[in-house]
Amino acid sequence: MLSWLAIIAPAWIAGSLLGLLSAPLGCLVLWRRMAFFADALAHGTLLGVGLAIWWQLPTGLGIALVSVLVVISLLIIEDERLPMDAVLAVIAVTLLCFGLLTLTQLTDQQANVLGFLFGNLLERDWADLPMIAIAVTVGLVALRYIWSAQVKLATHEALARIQGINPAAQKLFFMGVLAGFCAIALQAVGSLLISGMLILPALTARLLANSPKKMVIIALILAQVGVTVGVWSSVWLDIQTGLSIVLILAILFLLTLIMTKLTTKVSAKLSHKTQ
Amino acid sequence: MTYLVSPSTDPTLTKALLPEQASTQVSNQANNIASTDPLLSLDKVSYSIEQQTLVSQVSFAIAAGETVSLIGPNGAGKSTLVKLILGLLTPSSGQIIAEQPLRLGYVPQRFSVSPILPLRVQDLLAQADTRLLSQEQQQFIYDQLQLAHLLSRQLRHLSGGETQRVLLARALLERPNLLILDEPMQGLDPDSEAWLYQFIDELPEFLHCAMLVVSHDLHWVMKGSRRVICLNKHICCVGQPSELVVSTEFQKLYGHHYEQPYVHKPHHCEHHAPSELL
Repeated sequence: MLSWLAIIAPAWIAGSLLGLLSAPLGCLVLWRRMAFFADALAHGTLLGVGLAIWWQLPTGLGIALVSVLVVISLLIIEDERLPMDAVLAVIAVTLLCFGLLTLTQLTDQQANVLGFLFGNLLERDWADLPMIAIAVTVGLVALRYIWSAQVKLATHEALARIQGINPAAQKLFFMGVLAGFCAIALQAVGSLLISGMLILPALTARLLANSPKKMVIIALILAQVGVTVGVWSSVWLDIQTGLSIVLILAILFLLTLIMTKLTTKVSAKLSHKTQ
Repeated sequence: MTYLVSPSTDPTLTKALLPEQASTQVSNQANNIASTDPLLSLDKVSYSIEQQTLVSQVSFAIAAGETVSLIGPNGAGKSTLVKLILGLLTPSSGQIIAEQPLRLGYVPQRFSVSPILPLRVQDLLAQADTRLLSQEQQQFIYDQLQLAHLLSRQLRHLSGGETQRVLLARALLERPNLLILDEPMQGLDPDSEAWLYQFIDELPEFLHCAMLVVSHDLHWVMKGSRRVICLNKHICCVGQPSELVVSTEFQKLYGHHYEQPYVHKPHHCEHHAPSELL
């Protein structure tokens, strides 16, 4: 057991650290209706990694370049005739194709493609943890800085603007935090599953919460449960860590959904009977 | 469902809650007692988008403490003008000058919160910057607007009237010196309308602010405003209610008897984009 723990501990701690950031960030992504944007950024990380390896740049720089590319693409494509969710879906798949093409054709990373797509948290060792901890702390500090303005913008943009909040600057800042999260979450859950780790805890929490604060706290707990059970089950079942984390989070979502629907039905029947 | 609430005019209660204002408290006719100090001036403000002029050459000023009503048919540019004053849109030409530091309060025409955001009334009210009000003054607003039993309710489950009360509280908690109400009666039942009119008419001294009320309700406009601006992309007519009803432009829009039910009579004006005017 102890030997297992020594192997799993770095991955477990790295995943838990990511969960600390993914939960509040995921809540904001949902409140600001940016799930599709997050998905496009997440898919774009693959191209970022590919370009970074090809041009021998730091991975973070490659991902930052692609994030800027996504924002510029959005500005260029913006057209009231084209629904934004469809535009983002197109950007996401296009970036994924270019990412796969770059990794398989222009670099010697063919063997690692699966790891980039679905993540491999178990490859993290103790030496990686300080960097992840610093990145997560920076992300949390940045979130703390923009939190109030973001919640106000999610509530009512005009009222927020009257209070002096600049929506464009806030959006850019938020996109930056999101891109940073995608960069550090890539190795945990992979390009395809980042948005799952981001959105599922927050979405499940929404079913249980009646205030923004409670939603964040419940999302934090769910993210930690998902990471813990996901990391251990990936070892026992010998499957990709990203897959198992996201599957656990999806199961938690489904169970919560069924539970809340049943509870609502039962309480409606009971109140009908008492009347 | 009725929540007709009469704003308290009991001087003892006011004194107890607001000791610092007690000496200046008046049974408030204040909404029409305006100072002559200008608060905000609009100078030939126009707004066009895609070759279409929505607001043309609008000039007027609002004095501190004054209640101004903005009326006009649908599509007259009332909401656009409100957005320009709020700074949500930038004028295509002309300028809007804040003569004094502005603290804007705004009650929007429509308000809905996405179901994904579990926002309670208390969460929305916590978003207001309440630094300019004491705890007692904040409590006074909560009491007057009867918010205590609403605080833990989800915003999206409130009725139209309850939502208006909460939005009004949010605006007043920031102690605005210009409160903009964009069609505040829309979607309200008659009881709620009556309550809101009375509340606006009797705002206590410490909340006394200039108000710009966009309204389709000519009865209240004529009774409750010191000055009425009639907009139909440009300013058709402006003045005290008694002057307005005899104005030809007003009669073209609303007929000879404004007491009659509101009927929009199409009114043709030539409007030019600002560039065409130069």
